[in-house]
Amino acid sequence: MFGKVFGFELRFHLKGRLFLFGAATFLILTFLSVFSPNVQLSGGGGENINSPFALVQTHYIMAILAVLIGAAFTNSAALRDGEFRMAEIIYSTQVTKSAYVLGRFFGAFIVAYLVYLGTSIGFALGTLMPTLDPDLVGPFVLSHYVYAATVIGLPALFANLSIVYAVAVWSRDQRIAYSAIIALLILYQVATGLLGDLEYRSLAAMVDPSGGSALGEVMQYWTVFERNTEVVPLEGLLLYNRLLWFGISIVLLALTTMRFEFSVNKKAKRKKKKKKDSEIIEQDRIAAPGAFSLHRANFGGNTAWHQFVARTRFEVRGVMKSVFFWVLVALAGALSLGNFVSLGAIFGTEVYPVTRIMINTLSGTVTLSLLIILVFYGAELVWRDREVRFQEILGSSPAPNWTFVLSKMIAAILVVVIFLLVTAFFAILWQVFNGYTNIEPGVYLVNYLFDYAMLFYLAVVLSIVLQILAPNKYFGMMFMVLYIIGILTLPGAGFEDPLYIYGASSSTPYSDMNGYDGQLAIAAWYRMYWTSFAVLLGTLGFLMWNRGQHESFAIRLRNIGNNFTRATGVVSAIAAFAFIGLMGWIYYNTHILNAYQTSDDQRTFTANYEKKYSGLRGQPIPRVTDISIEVDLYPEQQAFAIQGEYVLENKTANDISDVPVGFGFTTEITALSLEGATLESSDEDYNFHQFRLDTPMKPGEQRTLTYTGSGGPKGFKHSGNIPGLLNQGGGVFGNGTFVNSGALAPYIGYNTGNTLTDRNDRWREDLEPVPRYADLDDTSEWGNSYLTQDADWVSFKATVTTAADQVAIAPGYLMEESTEGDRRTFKYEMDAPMQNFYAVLSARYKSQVEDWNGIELSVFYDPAHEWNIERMLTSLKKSLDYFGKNHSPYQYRQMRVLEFPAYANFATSFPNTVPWSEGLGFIADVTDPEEIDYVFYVAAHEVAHQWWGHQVSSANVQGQTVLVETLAQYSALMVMEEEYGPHMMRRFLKYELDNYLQNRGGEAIEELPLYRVENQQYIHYRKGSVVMYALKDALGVDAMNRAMQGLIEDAAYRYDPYPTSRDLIRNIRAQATTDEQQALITDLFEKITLWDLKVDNAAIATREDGKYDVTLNIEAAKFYADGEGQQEETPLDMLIDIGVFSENLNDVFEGDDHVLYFEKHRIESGENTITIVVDEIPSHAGIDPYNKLIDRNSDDNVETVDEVT
Amino acid sequence: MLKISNLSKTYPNGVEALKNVSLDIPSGMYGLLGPNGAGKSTLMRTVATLQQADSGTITLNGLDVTSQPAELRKELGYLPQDFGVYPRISALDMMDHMAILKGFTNGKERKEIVDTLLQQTNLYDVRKKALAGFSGGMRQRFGIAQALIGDPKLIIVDEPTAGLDPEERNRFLNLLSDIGENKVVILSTHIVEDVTNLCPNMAIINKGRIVSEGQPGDLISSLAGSIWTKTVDRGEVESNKERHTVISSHLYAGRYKLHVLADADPGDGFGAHEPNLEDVYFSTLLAHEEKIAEAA
Repeated sequence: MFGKVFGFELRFHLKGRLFLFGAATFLILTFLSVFSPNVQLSGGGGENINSPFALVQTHYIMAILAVLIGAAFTNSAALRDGEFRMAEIIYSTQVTKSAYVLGRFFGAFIVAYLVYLGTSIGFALGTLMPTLDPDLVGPFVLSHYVYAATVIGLPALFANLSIVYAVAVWSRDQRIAYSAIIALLILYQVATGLLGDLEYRSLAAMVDPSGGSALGEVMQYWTVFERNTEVVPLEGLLLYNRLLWFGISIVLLALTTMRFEFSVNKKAKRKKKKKKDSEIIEQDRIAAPGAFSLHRANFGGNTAWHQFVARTRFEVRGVMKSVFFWVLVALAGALSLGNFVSLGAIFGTEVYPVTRIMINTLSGTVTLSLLIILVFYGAELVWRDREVRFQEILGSSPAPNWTFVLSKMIAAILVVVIFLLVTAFFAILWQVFNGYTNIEPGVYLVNYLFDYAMLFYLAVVLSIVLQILAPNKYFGMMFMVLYIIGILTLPGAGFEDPLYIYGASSSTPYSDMNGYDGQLAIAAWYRMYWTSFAVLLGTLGFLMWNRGQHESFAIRLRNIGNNFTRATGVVSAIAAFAFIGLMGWIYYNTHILNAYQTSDDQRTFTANYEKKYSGLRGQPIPRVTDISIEVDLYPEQQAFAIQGEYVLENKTANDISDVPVGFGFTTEITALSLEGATLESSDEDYNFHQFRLDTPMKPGEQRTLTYTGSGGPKGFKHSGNIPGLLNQGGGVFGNGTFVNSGALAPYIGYNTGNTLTDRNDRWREDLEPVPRYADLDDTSEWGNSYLTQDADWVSFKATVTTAADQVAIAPGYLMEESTEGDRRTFKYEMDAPMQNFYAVLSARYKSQVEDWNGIELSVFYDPAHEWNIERMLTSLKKSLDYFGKNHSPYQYRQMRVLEFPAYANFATSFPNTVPWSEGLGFIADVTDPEEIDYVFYVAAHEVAHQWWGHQVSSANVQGQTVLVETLAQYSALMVMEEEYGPHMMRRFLKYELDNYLQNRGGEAIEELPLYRVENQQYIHYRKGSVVMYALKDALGVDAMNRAMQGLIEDAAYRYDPYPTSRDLIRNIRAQATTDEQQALITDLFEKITLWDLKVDNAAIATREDGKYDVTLNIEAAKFYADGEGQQEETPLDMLIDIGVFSENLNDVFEGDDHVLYFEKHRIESGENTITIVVDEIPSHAGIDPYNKLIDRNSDDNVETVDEVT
Repeated sequence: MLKISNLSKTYPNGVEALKNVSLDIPSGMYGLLGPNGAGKSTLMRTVATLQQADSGTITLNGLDVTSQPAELRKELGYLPQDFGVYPRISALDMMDHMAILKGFTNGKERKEIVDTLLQQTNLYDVRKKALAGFSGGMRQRFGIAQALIGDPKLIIVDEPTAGLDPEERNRFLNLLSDIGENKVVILSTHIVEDVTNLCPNMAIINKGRIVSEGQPGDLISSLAGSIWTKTVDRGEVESNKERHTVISSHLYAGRYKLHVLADADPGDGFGAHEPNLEDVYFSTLLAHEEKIAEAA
């Protein structure tokens, strides 16, 4: 019996169009994702495109998508008898309950799985594409595909679909079954969100029914080597997750079968019973016929309007009265609240609930629900009348087509609006609940209900029209899903012009400081453009509207003529006119006034610079010695004018007769001259100008370069209207200008920064493999600084003018300030040599200034963000104090922190000037003493750069950033430890270690030992922190600080040659007193070393003297890894911390009463047994409890102590 | 009056739902009788502007339905064969909504009309109850109430009594008979009795063709003396069918009552039978089937 039902179900769906369409969709999507370098589902690291890791990830992600389409099959299996009113007939046949319930499920499930298998085929086909870098395609291994499709995909699909099916059978309501899908997706989102917090990762791994978080947890630290060679083993968390959800599925299916009754509708039955008392009593008498025509109908001009309003109210009421809608709202609310809890957390520390962040968080969480509303309510609204079987009555009424179609669109938009209002209300409640009172209803309205939601309003119109055109609602929903996939993936695939992506616009970054600064107005052009298109779409919708039975597409196409009226003509003509006019205007701005550059074009553009000019690399050039600039900022116009005077000096031993000078691509140069030189050529594309000297520059000779230029927007571009703050030179903004030397100043010679660094990008542009950093011992590069090759230490002065209500700041000391009319002028001059690296900022700042030991400390900030100003000043003081005492004296008389808009979240250290993003720290809530105070940390790090970077520079070779970033991390850690103690360091370093281990797998080139780091952030910052702290622990803080002082003595302001990481290692080795310390320095700096320390068990026994013996069984190993992450075990023999505690370290925030024992013990490879005598009963004991050593599993270092009787 | 000329419709799956249908339908109740699948609903929907014919024309008092569907809808009341109701909405609200769609934009007037119709269909007392809780008969009465909004000139009721119990059916037919005489009311049904009781004019439709048309009395009298009847056991039915033109066989007290068509007394135990509309219906269908069989 089961076989028959199963077989029937299978054939039923296999014959349907949805099956073929779905399978094709999966095949094509995966195919595209594999061979298009811009659409990537997995990886992005250095592993092969078809590595088992990528296969597993892709199969997992597609399994989640497969739930959406699979649910169409299982819902049909569960609900179609009721929908087509076949239930009575089927239920009265001889089929058994279990055969019916399970046969149908498995039939539908197998079909869904077959659809999903399109993924595997699409993947395999994708790897055959010739456009792929052959180095990145590994051999075809069938077993990897089979593994990914069965072990990863099958259980994920099974768990999800069995739940959806059970809900569908129980509820007998399609909408509730859809809510189940949403709930599952939300579980997935919650799990993904939880992954960010170190403490909740195991929990996250269990709650995701698809197993993705477990996959993430298991594979999080996988290196490139492991990703290429291993399939994720079905064990540990992944196995438990699978067992848990498989169990839940089986139980649900069993319960569903047992509880299933062959009755038509339980709900209806229940209702009937209730109704009995109030049963409507039939009356025999029929009223005598009277006048049917009391009044005449009115078909005047406003009748259609009345009909439209009535239809809209009717549709909205239909939605509002459905449980499904409120389930959606409740789920979105719950999810938002979940995300508010760890609002904007960095290092686990949250931010204040400022409206900008609340809206960011909301939009991140409600997008999913809105997409479902788009897909689902499009179908629901269009097909509801037909499903209720009221369509013919409506269709025979004289209300015109447009009242039906437009009312459905308005209803759908209102659904979105109501949804957003409710969720915004949750957000405001949260703000109030947290004592945050600066509620900004206007920002909610503009940013959330308009800017964020505009795409959804437009998409709703599309959804309704697609449903009208579609042969049935499943196809309509499928079309809409394809549209959604399209808008998500097309821009990445090189199709990024919002002119052809329905609903798209230019991006609209928002900052509390700077608002939208005109970006909303630019986006408005696109939005008007697409709105006029939506009007055309809507017109098509009501021209093809079906009033009665569902007619074929061809017949409805014929009906267009019949439905066409003069009003239709006028409306569509106006819309078409607007559409074409706006298209022209946008095209003029984005393609003619500005060059239309896709990211692919930009790649080619960059590549061509290298192809054209790399011959100049290494050509001797004069270097900048003195800088004098005059910058006029025009915040309202987002424009600047620049006049500069650069003194160049020939520091080489030979004559120089050619001087190439380049500028940022967006800076327009109007005058350019070099003393005693003729401009030979100017390349406008690259803003690159080549001078030939009339008489060559002798060694030591100086010449002056002068230039005039300007920058600012011309009309608008399709993207990038807010320039990148670091790489693209920054920009002038209404409030919060941050423009740096990249836009303001020339560079001399070939610009190595203008190089493609992505391996695949270079392959596609037919360039040599990624140029590596010069070898650490390549002395030819020791004479170049890590920042720029065209200068060493320079003198600097700047005159900056800006709007009268703004403060403008550049590195240096304020010499003069004056206001004249609506312009304000600031003159800055630096009295000590500095790096050729500066920026100009200007905003309506509030400032807090303090004098500290003759040093002027100031923070310039947005008046709305005053929470952490004191923290910053405190950190400035403590840092200057610590570094002044332990490194060398501070070289300046001032230190300034300047807030800039949250277009990017970083802080950076110019000489005595630190621009700091409003998104990083200014709104952090560091009031909880148990959280990491990253404001203090960031300030300390940036102050440390005044030593590491601005006193000690670094040569342009491998390991260059060790001297800058790793040492800044070290110095910051030392100040933090003084301020917050070792417990906080343990928490902080756990994040650093996790970050390092996570990012190793994403390494695209080669992981290098710290001393040869090639600007890899996860190494020089994250690993750097862990390494420096471990060294400090081994050598002692005094020895380390002596090493720092030694390095500064050797290397401060040195430029010929610049210092390298060897100078650092030499100074540290000089302080190391034992061979063991020397070996540790080698392991930490010169090798990639990993430890694996683990407590197998910790037992306690009471001694006769009343004390306790704690016996620890420890497993220990040490590994060296190569650049791909392949490990090799190496003997371990070193002193490692052993600790015994009376409390869980995770719960300790201060003091050391809980430390019963803490000493270093000699630990060797393999099993170690250590017995320690303590006075109190301990609760926890372990090895390296403070996670000082790099260990891929840092959670098994400490165990609870078992009592032995 | 409603004039249908040469209407044809073939569905994409090849079914010829209407073949060259022409009818002149005068004011008053008009019965359209035919078995399931005969094309009644297609014809009704086409007249109600919900479907387009492949060819042919329909005019109502000179108004061309095909080219001016919107105008026709202003004069139309339509009760489809099969309609459902929205959940969680009362009869009053739904009627009010329909009245707006039918052009009653003045709230006060609308209320009067809705109230009157609800009273006339005897739904006034339950007007605030959810439609979903209505019985089949009440639902049909609601259906006719909405069709009557605005005193339409053309009223189409498609199989209104299917699924009603005899009492409900009776009540509903009473209601229909009250509808004014100055308008065209088309009652499509497969139940002969409905037509017998209500319609001064009628047509029989089978397989997309009008096979008979006229006044019930005329049609019945045309059969006078041609219908013969006999009651037999089950086992004899087949042999009788071979020997005679059996137009219908009814189970009656466990035996079969056969009606046969014959110009003269067929003997064989048959007795004369006064023809009724049902005999007209069945004999017409039979004749049509035979004609089709011959043509094939």
